[in-house]
Amino acid sequence: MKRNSIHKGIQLDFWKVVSLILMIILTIFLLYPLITIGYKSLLNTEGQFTLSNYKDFFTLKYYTSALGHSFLVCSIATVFATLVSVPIAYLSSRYNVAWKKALNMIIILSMISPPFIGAYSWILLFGRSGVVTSFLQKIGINMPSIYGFGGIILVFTVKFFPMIYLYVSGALGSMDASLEEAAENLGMSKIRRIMTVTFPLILPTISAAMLMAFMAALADFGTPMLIGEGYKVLPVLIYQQYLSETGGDATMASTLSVIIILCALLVLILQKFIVNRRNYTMSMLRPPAVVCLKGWKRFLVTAVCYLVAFIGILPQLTVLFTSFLKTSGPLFVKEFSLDSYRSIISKLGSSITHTFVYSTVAIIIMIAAGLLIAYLSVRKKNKINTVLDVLVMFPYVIPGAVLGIALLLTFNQKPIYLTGTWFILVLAYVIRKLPYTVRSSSAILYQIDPAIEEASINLGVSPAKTFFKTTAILMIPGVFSGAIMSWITTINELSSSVMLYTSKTATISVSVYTEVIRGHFGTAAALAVILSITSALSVLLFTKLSGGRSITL
Amino acid sequence: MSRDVHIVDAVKTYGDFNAVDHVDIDIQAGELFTLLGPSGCGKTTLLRMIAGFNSIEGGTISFGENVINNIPAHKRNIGMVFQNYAIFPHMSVYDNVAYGLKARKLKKAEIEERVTEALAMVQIENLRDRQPANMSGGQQQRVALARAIVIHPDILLMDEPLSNLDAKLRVQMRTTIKKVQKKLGITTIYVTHDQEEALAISDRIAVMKSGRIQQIGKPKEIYTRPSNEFVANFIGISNILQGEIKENNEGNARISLMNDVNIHMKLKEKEEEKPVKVSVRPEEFRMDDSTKPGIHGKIILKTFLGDYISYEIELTNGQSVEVNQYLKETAREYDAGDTVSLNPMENKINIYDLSGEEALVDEKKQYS
Ligand SMILES: Nc1ncnc2c1ncn2[C@@H]1O[C@H](COP(=O)(O)OP(=O)(O)OP(=O)(O)O)[C@@H](O)[C@H]1O
Ligand SMILES: [Mg+2]
Repeated sequence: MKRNSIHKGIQLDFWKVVSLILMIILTIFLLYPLITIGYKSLLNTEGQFTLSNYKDFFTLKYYTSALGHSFLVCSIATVFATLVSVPIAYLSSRYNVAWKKALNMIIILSMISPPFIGAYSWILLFGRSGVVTSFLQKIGINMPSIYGFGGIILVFTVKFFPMIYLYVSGALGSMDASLEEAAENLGMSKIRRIMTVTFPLILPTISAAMLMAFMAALADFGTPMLIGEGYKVLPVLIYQQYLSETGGDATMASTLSVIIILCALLVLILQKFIVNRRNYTMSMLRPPAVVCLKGWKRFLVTAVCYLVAFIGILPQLTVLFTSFLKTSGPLFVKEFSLDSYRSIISKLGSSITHTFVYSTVAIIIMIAAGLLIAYLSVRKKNKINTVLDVLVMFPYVIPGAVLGIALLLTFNQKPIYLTGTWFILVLAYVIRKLPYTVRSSSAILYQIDPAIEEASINLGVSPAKTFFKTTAILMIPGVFSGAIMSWITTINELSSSVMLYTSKTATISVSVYTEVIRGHFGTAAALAVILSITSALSVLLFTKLSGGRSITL
Repeated sequence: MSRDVHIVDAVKTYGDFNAVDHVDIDIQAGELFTLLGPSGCGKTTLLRMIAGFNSIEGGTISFGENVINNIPAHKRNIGMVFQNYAIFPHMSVYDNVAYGLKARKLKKAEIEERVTEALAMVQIENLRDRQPANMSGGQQQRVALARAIVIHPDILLMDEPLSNLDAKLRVQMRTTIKKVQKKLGITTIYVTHDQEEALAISDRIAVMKSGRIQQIGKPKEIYTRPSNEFVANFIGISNILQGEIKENNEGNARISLMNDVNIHMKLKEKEEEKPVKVSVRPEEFRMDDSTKPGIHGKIILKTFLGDYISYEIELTNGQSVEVNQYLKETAREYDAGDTVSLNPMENKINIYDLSGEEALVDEKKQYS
């Protein structure tokens, strides 16, 4: 009897223990760095408490203009990306566009392109000595400059429209046909039907997708760094500020970080206010009908879709092509060779190993943590677990560079000294990419009947064991549909890696970046191709194994 | 091994509201005991307290001598059948049924034998290797039942097990459940909000309302002698008419019904002259031509229902009552528009005080 009661105590508390451990880990590795960065932003260079950093920020044009720039380019690019992607999503989901699967695959592939490959490729094509630019110059046409404001918007638009496309076409495809039919039945013309039924119903999705695009653009560091030139946005400013402050305490970089987090939060809250109040749960009874076009109409619709998809994938094609070119210094020569690949294997092989080792460790941690956190926040609702859930989701709004700085400032001294280790990179990956896994895991959990677990417990299996024998197994498809996204974005991660790496821990994306900066375009392209191919193979493998289940963005 | 169950002063609180409010129930070994009541009355809550999925905030629940309040759910050796079956979707029928036996670390051969026996008992031997995904509701329900009984539980719990089935399957399944239960002699607590189902399947019924027990008794007792107005209305249909105790001589009472008719019944001696409620079921009226004495009314609607006819009758005071006439005992059939006279059958009807809470009839004297 006594043994029995000890046993009981342990089992009753299994989830409480898990929740406590996770809470401690998150407090140390997420909350504490964020508090540190907030605290540093309130110090002056002598370490005294002051608000002068914030005063400087809001009074010096140098800073306010960067804030303005960030908002301007991100908003415009988000709107452009929406204007491009929504009509294409409508066309491809409601008309018999040819080779639809291929179209979607191309768009998925362009979404998972390595960071700033976009900027880099557009420079290769349309930059000062770009292929297209020089060609046009020969026939007497002068291209407007691709650098600065316009360039950032172009690259952001191309980079983020695939994401919006995937969200929106998902929503359009899962809308119940009878809604539109009802409108038709009530005598609405086609255009008005779209405006009064279809569009309002997918509006929440569109706005959620726009928010994601905006956040990603706001946090993007590589693109404006490469193509922005004089046009400074916040992440670039943070990076440069941090590098110039390394001797000191990085107080201004901290201030900038806090401000960018607040901006992201503000946007998030606004979006929640506008959208959450009108979120429709639609029960899909019958998928919407696909209109069958014939002849030139079908050709035209297909052509438009593929043209847009082509522009999306163009950067990666450019990179693929140039990776096979011979180089002489920073210049490509018109001759094919595998030199670039040879040289990465001899010089940069370690960065490939690093990427895969770190990402694998990170994804294993993410799957385990995602499973447990999703379970706690969905099935064991209480105050602590709600806090846990919010904490885990919070990095969604933290740009990578900011997280990098926060980790560096926090763990560069005893008791926890992590600067320069591989662990700090894995840590950053887990923190930043975990939300994808947690979200998809929670989503599937809502579809699993809680009574399944009760049935198992009732049949004599302890709660902890029950979880692993029933719910955990049933969650796997959902966990993986988010984990695939965590995985792909992890191997492509740049913005926090670039803050945290040392020569001993450089990853592929860091090497691409440094090679571009050094003018080794050939090797940069070859490395980027390795990333692209790995990402593409991961998606293909996932689609195969999951029997066509879609990726949770 | 079947066990008796004792629930003493059980309480479950959500915030400041008692979902289960000081409940006392004694269930005998081998009995099929039903918790019956309207939606939200606390049936599921009480059942889950017994199963161990809800904490017990007050009182005790014991199986035989053993108080189980602090025994974790997975050690209570209870079989449970869930409303939506809760079949493990990633396991075959065989693995579902074997699950609890594996948890008990039985030998393979014994598992095999017991699963086969359980599947046979619910008549689904042929589904043994099927995956549950594409099975019908009735089949899943049988798997759930097999899975619950195969572990030879002390107690079997069922929470509205039939509510997701269509009407015909429901009747079929309830027969299966009753047969299996009797054959194994398993103490069973069955939850439903369907009074017909409860009357058909139960040895005894506890009627609940707002977390409290209203009445416990055999199906027939509950139907014929509802202990208050709520039970009278919840189980079957009752017409509630106004009456008044005119005199009560040591239990021999004269009650005036709607100031029209005098009825004579044996009431509890303490009852004094006062207004009361007279509860008459549709089949507890004698119907006659309007020339005869009785309460008078006009037939509004006549519905033919096979072995009986149901009349809706508007009384002179505007109240409408329902009256059933069984074909085999009918002297004369009436039509809509006819006026008729009604007399309640004194040996069947029930009398309650004005609040509807207390039955006033002295049962021993009146109905013996
Ligand atoms: N977790 C909970 N938190 C707060 N209130 C609850 C909770 N679970 C149940 N209740 C409340 O307790 C009361 C009893 O609920 P219960 O589920 O036991 O009803 P029920 O009799 O089984 O009803 P039904 O026939 O609809 O299943 C209801 O008022 C319900 O709202
Ligand atoms: Mg219930």
